[in-house]
Amino acid sequence: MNGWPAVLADLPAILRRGPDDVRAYLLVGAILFSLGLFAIVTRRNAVALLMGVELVLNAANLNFAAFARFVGAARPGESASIEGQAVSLFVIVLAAAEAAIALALVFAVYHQFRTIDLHRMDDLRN
Amino acid sequence: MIPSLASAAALPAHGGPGVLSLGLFLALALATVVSAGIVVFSRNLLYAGFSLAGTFFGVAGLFVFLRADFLAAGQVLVYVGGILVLILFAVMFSRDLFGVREEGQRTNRFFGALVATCAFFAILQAILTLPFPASAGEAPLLAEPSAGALGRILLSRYLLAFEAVSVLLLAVLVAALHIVRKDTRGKQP
Repeated sequence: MNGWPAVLADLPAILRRGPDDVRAYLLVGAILFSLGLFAIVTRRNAVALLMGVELVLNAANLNFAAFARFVGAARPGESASIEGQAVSLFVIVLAAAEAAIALALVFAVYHQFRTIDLHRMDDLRN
Repeated sequence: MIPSLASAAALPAHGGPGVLSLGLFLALALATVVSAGIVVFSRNLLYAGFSLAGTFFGVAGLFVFLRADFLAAGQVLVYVGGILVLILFAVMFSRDLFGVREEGQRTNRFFGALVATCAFFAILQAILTLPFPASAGEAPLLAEPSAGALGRILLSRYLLAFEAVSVLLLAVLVAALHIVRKDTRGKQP
């Protein structure tokens, strides 16, 4: 297993190759995922938490599309694979459904509790 | 506009990406990451919502670089035109209602930073150490826009999932209306 300095030595090469390197896309996806995770854990506002979920889903989409382009293209005798893009399309549709239901729940919860602070809606009945 | 620009600039100069293509890619990636950071760290929820548009557009641009033109269009239509408008509507409609202004305080900051940092470095090490078969310089372009191939695969191999998603969307439509409806049953005599 490489130590961290040796691992990080690859970073300039990745940035120099830019759009021709799958790892550049994965790097952007990793940053988006981590930021979304941070938002999900720390935000107290339900709508802000939903934004974090969207960031995570976007990161997943980016990874699907990147692997569809690069790994599919590396298979011999086959053009770039389309399946990753199909899965990514399903993720977009499910994200839309999730956003609609989540915002409906936020409104219903506000109607019930008069707040959307996730720390103050902690009783089963009022 | 951007696709032709990107593909024109991607003409191979001794194997590496063209300068224009590389610069455009790095600018897009940077814009995506920075606006995602604003989404997460902004104290004002309205700024976070508008910055989310930058993230969505940036990811759409990266889709263009990945030759996923239909995904890029769908990203702009569904995320920016649908989800983002929904979120911004919720934020603006509820700004006074929900007390968004004083939402600056967060919960378990330390734990969140720990979890996010650990996840990031775990993924980073996987990215940097695993051997990806990723020399894309010679990867062939799709001969046609990806919409045709996507349509064929959605209606053949993924037909069941496609139908299930359409039923799910109908269920979501009904469920969202059911959840937010005014409860009038108790008021009936």
